[in-house]
Amino acid sequence: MSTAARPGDPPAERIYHRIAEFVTFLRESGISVGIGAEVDLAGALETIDVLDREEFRSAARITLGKSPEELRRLDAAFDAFWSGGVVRPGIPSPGHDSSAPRMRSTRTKTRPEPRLNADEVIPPSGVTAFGVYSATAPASGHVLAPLGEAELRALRRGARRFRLVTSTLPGRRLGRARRGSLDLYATLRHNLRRGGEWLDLIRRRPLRGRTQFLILWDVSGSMREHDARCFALVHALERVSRSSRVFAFSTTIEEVTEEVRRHGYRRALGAVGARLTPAEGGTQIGPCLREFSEHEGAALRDHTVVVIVSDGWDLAESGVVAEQLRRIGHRVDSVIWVSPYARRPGFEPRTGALVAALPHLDALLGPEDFESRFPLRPLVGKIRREEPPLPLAMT
Amino acid sequence: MAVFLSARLGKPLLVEGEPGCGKTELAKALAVATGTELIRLQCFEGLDARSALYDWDYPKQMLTIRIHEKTETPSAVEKEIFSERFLLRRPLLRALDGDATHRPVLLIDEVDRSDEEFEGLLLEVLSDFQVTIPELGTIKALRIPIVIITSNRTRELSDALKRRCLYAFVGYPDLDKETEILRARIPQLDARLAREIAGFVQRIRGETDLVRRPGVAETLDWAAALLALNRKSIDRELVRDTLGFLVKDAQDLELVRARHPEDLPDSA
Repeated sequence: MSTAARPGDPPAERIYHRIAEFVTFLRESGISVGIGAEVDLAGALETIDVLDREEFRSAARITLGKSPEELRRLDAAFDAFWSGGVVRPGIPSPGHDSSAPRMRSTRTKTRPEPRLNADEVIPPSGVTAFGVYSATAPASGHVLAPLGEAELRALRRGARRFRLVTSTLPGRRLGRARRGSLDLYATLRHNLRRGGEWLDLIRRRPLRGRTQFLILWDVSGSMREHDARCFALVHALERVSRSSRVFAFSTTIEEVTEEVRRHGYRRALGAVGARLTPAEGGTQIGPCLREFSEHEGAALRDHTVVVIVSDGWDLAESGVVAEQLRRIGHRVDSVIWVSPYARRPGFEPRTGALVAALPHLDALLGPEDFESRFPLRPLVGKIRREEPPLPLAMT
Repeated sequence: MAVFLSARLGKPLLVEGEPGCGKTELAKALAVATGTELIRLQCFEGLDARSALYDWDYPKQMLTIRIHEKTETPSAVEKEIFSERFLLRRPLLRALDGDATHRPVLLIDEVDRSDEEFEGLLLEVLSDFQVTIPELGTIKALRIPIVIITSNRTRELSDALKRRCLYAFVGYPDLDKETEILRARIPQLDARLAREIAGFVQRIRGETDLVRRPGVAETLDWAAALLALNRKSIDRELVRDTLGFLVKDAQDLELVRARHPEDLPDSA
């Protein structure tokens, strides 16, 4: 059964059809919209002037968007869809369907919007990357190769061990313990069930604070050959701490947490790859770090571990890297740099960004540190004793 | 529009944005505008059902057991001590447990400071507006409260929580809007000084290297300080002496002191 709006449908039916098509378009564009949000938007239409474009846009933002990043992408998708810029087979555009409700625009257009063909906006993969389209760039995203099962399992084990050794700060949450301070209320509650006699004492002490990983992953051209292993590590680290966030950077930085979090490893490869720009450009680590701390400053807290996965090749001034890492380092628990070369024989940090970053790092690790059975605790122990963050020989 | 839709659709509104941009103030203003009670739950790490939802008045229960243990059967005593008389209503329960004539504003402030477990607790409350107390049964809201949830984005909230909410992002206001806020909140402030203050704050926010940018709350603090000092305009010396009201990070303070005074007039 076709769900497309038909000219004979009542106006309310037609607009609901269009909403369904818009939501489908958003999903194809990589914006995750649930049924509940779609129903909310339909409900909102009953309370707003649906013919007022900006009012309708606001309602769509409020009901469908769930983060600032999604709001930006939703705005682009809104313009593309409701301006008739997208012509998709089977989905008539309001511009083409004279019977469909038209919206008043409250914006003054300074120039006519170019009409795009569906094939230009929606690549065959069905994923649209708004804001990264360029006439000269390849249409497909960053292709990520999968890693072998054995290496994948080893990295996951390493990520779990890494979380355990970085969660060292006591938090404010209290957990039951044999020794610790007396929890009077818990003792009362417990003993009430035993007729009110004080038979057992309940003690609690602070649990370890939950580590939040902020993972900054270099996806520039120089990291291409390490993509498979680095992405597997990034995915594994994201999985071990629910509040972790992932940012991909090259010359710009963008958050890809949703793409990593929503899928298992295999599907995440495609979802993240489609989101990223092709990996042919250079790297600007310093400016990206600056943008990161500028926009995500609130996430830099005392139980945050910043993990930078990069080879350190940088086109920008290395002084910016040093300055930004110094500032970030003051605000977080630790800054760990993972270089794909760190465990190679004879490795010495020579890339500008890495040399500049060294004094501000807590440890410099390689992916091999996560894969091997060598315990990570001594490496992180070195961090706590503030010894030089140089790669340590494995024994 | 976000608040309007939240109230009309009966869905919580998740407001995210930089600290000090007026997220909490939105809920307070809403309560004042609607003439209803504001019930505030301030979130923190370790917040649990006992502090957010309900608890039993244990000392009172113990005393009741002692009083009745000789005269009543154990089951009668148990029934007595787990009745509503011994229930301590915390903010979430208070918001649901009101009468049908009032629709309170429930502010769940800085939810990103709480643990994921607490988010799980919120799911039942926010989706069905009901709370299940094993000893008493399910308490369902007679009238759905207007729920405003704020987050400073120190961590990502769970998808499940986001799905149950409408969403709004509050950014920094522009010059005109900030001047308007200053004039509205501090009516005694001279219009020219209000604009000067807002302009200076806007310039500081433009600094890309700042660790913490001043929010509207800091602007209001600074304006109030200047008013208390009876100043009619800002100058270099005044900025140097009072910058701590505006910039609350030692590194930022150094940075702003080094850069901005040159842009200011030496005196009014």
